[in-house]
Amino acid sequence: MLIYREKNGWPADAAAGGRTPASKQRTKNVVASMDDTESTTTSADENTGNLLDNPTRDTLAEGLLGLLKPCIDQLDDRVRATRISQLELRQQIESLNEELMKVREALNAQPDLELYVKKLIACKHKITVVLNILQASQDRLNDLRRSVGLEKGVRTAILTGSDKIEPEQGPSAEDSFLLIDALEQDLSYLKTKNPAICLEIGSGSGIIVTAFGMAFQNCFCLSTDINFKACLMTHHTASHNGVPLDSVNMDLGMSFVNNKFDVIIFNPPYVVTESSECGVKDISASWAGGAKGREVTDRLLHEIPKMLADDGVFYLLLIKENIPGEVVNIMFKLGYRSNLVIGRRVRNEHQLVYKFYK
Amino acid sequence: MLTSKCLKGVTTGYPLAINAKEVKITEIDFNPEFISRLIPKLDWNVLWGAADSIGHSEGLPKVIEPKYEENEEFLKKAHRVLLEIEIEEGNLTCPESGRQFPISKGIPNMLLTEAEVQ
Repeated sequence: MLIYREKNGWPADAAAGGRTPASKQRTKNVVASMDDTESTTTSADENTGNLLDNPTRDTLAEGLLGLLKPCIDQLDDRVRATRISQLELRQQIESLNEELMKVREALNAQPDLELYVKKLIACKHKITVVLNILQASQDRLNDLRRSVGLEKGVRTAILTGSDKIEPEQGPSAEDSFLLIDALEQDLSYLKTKNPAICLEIGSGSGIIVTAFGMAFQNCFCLSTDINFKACLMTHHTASHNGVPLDSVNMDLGMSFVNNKFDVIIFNPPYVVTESSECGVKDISASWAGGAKGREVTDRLLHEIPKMLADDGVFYLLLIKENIPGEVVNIMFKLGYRSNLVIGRRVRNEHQLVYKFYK
Repeated sequence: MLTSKCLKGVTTGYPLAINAKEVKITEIDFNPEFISRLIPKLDWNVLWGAADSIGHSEGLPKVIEPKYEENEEFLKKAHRVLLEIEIEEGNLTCPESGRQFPISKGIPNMLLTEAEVQ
């Protein structure tokens, strides 16, 4: 930027040596902020080698400075501002760095988890061990139970499900278990009697007669049932438990030769129903007892004297609704004494097992 | 076999004749005490006749000798006939009426019809 003073007749090129002739053409673009000092001396005259004492030059220099100064000031300001923002940025970077350091530390803080994992694995091992112990105990318990059952000889008959037979069941098995309990209670009495042939009428699943057969290995067991499927199932149950037994599809004990049996067991269809429901040959025969629940029982009572041996014993299950007193009377008239062996309340039934003997 | 010796027909029809279509022989543990106790309860002649009718009477004496309970050979034969020989399929015939009672799957069906019950 060249500064020109407009002076009348004053030559365009300045005294501070070295100005090109081209600068003459910028006379119109002049910005002068300095006072024009009149100077009559020409540049040619002042164009001496003495650079220190040139007032024109000084003035020019001042002018230049003046012109440049605001720009420089501006630059200074901007530089200062930049510097400040740089400082701020640095601070931000430092704080970010700190954060990152913290994050890294947090990430590095993993070893704690491993400890817990190890603890969990140890627990798992312990649980497995405990489980194995429980399993072994359970097995031993089962073996013990089995051997106890063998010792007692009663109530270890296990029912089997067969593919060929669909096991139809009556309402519940509580009555069967009560009969088995009654036999168990009379075990010593029966052992002294030493029965040779035993009969269960209406054997159903065969659980009772099988239990009896397991307790009395020297007794021949027979069973009857009006339902052929029950006969098959009884046979299965007995052979599964190692009891030799013959099953006959028969109505009560009608077709047997006289006075052969030392023990007769009967778990009758004792449920009080309409007479019409009683006497059907399907599964309802296992529970439908007709009037007073006694129609089937009464028929059998009159056969007992023909079937039972002289010193034989007859076990019969009844419920209160069957009016046991009447049964006892009937048997008494037929010549039999009676005893209540065991009784139990099962849900809404009061079940009783009686035994009859001469 | 033992069971059939306990069965009878309608009124006095005993013994029931055996008509065997399928005979099964199973092995059962020999229990001498058991057998000796059963023998007096049976009509031995009838048993022999029944065994003979199905062709298994060989070696079985027609008459029981005294002190049979000590004769293990005899007891074993009796055991075989009574317990081990089973009739799977066949018929039991009443000597009185000629009525046939079928045996199926080893189970004799003695159920009488409505008419017969009257």
